[in-house]
Amino acid sequence: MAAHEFELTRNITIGQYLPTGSFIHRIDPRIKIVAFTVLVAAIAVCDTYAGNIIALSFVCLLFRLSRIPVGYGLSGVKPAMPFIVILAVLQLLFYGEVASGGTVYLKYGVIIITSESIRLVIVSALRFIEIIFVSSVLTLSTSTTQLTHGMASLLKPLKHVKFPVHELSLIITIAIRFVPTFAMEMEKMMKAQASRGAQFGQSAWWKIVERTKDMFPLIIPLFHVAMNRAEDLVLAMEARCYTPGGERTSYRKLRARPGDYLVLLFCLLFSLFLIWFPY
Amino acid sequence: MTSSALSVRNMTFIAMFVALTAIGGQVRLDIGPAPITLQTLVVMLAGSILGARRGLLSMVVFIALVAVGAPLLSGFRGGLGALVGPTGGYILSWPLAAFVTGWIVEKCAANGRIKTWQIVLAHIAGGILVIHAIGFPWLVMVMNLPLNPDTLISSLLIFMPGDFIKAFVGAPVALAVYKAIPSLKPGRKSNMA
Repeated sequence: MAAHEFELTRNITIGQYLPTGSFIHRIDPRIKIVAFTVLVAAIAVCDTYAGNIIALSFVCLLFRLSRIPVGYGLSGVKPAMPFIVILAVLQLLFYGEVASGGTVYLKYGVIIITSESIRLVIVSALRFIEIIFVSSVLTLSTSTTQLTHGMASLLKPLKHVKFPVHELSLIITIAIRFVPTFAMEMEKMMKAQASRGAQFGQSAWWKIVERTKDMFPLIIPLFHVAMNRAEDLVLAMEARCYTPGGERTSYRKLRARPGDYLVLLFCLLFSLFLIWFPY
Repeated sequence: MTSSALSVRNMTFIAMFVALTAIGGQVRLDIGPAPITLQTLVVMLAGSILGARRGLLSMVVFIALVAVGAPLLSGFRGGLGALVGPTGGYILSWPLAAFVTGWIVEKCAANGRIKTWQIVLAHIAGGILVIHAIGFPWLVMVMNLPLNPDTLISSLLIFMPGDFIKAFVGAPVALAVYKAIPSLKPGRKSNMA
């Protein structure tokens, strides 16, 4: 196992918030979530070269506007790179029959490469990067608390059909809060075991019993930590008389300003433009 | 307050399993012929530890988080693209997998006792059968793979050793958790609150 595989915390970008105080940071989180959803949907539909280049320049502009270094977006793309490459290769090899239009460049057995399949490969790789970029801008410019508040506020109408909106947003907040904590614990345990000479999965794969035994020193402590933390949290919340269904007000009220609606309108128009862009 | 659908305890444990599923995806172990993550182990345990209903809920929340773009899947993937992509079926099957696992565990523990082999069986049924029954046809359809022995080996059988190891590893973990936190033990009335 390579050394970098122990570095879990460094790679987890969720919950990373970069307060630069730009105007994108100040947009109402509800507006940001809706605008983000619309943009992602438009990017997912857009399948032309020109449309994707426009979309890519737009998301790069978003980085500039939010004063977040593009490097943050790229570090989100880097771990996904092997996946993008594998997907591209598979599409290139096997999508020739599906996307059969255009000129045929190569035909060898079942492998058919056409101009259409090449377009598909490039466009889907671009889309992937664009979507990672847009979601990086969203999470880097909005704190987790703001995001969950925004989400809960958007889902409020569902309360009328007995959907547990508040409970759900609390679950999400707790879950996101504990992802980095568990990553840190896991990293500590893997390093601790490795320093004692543990070699995860080094024996041959048919030695199933040995391999099974290898996993216990990781799994048991992880669950032990998780369950202890859960118990502590439950006690802490119950001691403070927390009631899940209770009506509560929040310290910071969400308020969308006229400018925020303008941003939403612009994103809507831009998305429509991307969807119907003829080239 | 009784009007709430979930108690504080239930919400916290569901949230912990969402977080554990996220961590499970980042831990890669080269067990079996193909590299595996701990993610499906957590799915099995969500069923056997939380039970059918809460296990299902925790996986639904996890998928909702992935759908809105949180990079929680293995290889830091996330977003709707990952869910409808070639391997999306494997992920979308998790709520059902956790539910089936939990349901079997609850049935076996109806008299308040459960044996290790029963948990292993539940893990195999929910965590292996259900996941591959949904994930594999999805993969074949999305990728237009031919149904020949090669495909079966490269996308189905290769995962089996790792999956079975996980089903076995999960059982003592579940038993240890029942012992540590008796309220999570299946077959107890308070469990269903």
